[in-house]
Amino acid sequence: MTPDIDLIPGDYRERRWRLRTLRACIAGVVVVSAGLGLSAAAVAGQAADIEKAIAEARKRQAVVSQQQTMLEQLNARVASMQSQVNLLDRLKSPGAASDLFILLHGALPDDRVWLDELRLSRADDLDEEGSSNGEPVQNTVRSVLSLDGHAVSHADLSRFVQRLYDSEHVKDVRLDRSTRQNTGAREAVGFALSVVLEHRVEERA
Amino acid sequence: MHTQIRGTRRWVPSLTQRNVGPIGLDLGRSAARLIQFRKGSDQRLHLAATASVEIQGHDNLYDTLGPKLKFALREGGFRGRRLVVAMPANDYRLISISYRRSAEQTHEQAIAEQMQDRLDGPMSDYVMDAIPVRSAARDAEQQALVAVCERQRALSLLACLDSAGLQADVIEVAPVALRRLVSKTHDGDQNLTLIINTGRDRSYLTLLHGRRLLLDQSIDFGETRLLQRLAESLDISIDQARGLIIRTGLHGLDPSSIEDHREGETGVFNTLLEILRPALNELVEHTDQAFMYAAAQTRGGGSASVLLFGALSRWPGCADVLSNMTRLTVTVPDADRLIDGEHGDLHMPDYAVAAGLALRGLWHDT
Repeated sequence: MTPDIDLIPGDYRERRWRLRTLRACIAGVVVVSAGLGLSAAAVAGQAADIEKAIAEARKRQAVVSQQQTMLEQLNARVASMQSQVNLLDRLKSPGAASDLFILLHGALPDDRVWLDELRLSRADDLDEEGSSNGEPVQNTVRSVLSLDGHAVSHADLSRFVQRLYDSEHVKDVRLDRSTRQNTGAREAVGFALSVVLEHRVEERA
Repeated sequence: MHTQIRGTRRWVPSLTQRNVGPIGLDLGRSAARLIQFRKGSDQRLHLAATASVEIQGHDNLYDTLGPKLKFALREGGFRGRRLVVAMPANDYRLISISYRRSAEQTHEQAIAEQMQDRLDGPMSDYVMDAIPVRSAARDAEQQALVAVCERQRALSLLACLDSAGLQADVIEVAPVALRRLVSKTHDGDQNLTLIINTGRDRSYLTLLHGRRLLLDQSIDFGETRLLQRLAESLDISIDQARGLIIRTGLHGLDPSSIEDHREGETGVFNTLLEILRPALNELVEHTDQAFMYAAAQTRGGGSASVLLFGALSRWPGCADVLSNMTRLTVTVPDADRLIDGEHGDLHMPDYAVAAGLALRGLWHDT
């Protein structure tokens, strides 16, 4: 027994409590639903923003890719140009002349043939080969070496010409003139040769 | 039925003030009175709102009260929907019973067993609750006051309040509310206090021993009977008699001076008093009987005092006259003892029951 009086019927109080609990639950569900709705709307808004950002990023990525491609093309072009520059550098280098003297030194028999005059002239422009089948472009430099000199005998001259032919750079040898001459006490064979030389210059980057 | 909102006041509390208590609603015979307190930061009670709704007739009270309460609540500036209401006096009975309970029984079961013989029809037709009056050893006889009302009346009251947008936390009875009010405003754990709540047709005597409710009794005594006697004697109407008594009052006579006044018969006060004395004697007899019952219950001891509520509390000097006749201290409760701060012209005795109800939850008397 409590010191106070309460004449509210117990079943009424319990029914009212249930009703109030139910209302509170419904209100809670409504609030939670509203919260979820707002959250969903917020998430949807954020998703839209994210999609927009992704689209923007993709657009930028496409631009970057395009720029990358252009850069690669430019790099390739730079490499190509650099290769051509290298080739030109090689072509104008004195490598051919040094090769020529090495060739002549190897071909001249000891004291049996001597040269009086030597002229080197470019025979033609570059001939390009192999560029069509995808192989590295091999450029050939053709030059004509005109030699005037004397040999002790025709045999020596012939040996000299033969040795020239043995060289990989010699494409052709033409005997332009050959005359027997007396040089003081000795007899010699004066000659004029045209040696067609061919150098292959490989294009390098 | 005519309804009038009067005495409506609004003390709008600031937003920072909390601890607003429930609304107390007293459905009296002539008016429904509402009051609400709030507890300040100093734990003192402040008046938050009051309203009074005039009622004419209780026959179909619950059918018509809802809209009036709704209006009064709106106009009165009440806060919240929580309410503690007192069952109207006609709708419940407060029965004092003695009972013994066996080892297997709870108090409630023992009381229900006792009440079965006192009620018509099945117990399920009633709602009842009890408060202990005297507790003794388990096997001894114990006493309780049992409040009982018809279940249908309680449901009608709840439906009425529900229609006004109010949610009744508790349906109490007036004596319990008065006990709470008196416990709050008057000190003394062992003192006997008799509350005389005077109505127009009937009055109620509530006897407290400290904070213990000993007795609640309805007596066939009311303001109307006194006014009728006065009207007949002076050959005036009842309304004129009421106006006269409110205007002139019954200013108290010192016991030693009563004889002098009898001899003089010149004052209107004496005239009125002499006319009313026989009727007032009936009240004094009931008062004496109540204190005799209290003496038996409490084996004497403690000082005794009387608090006067209701219609007669508005009669100037009536408390003094009753003091002289009963030779006890009879006082009319003052709002200052309960409320701190502004309370306007609130006549506390009119709102005593409502105030006791409104204190529930704000102040505990147990």
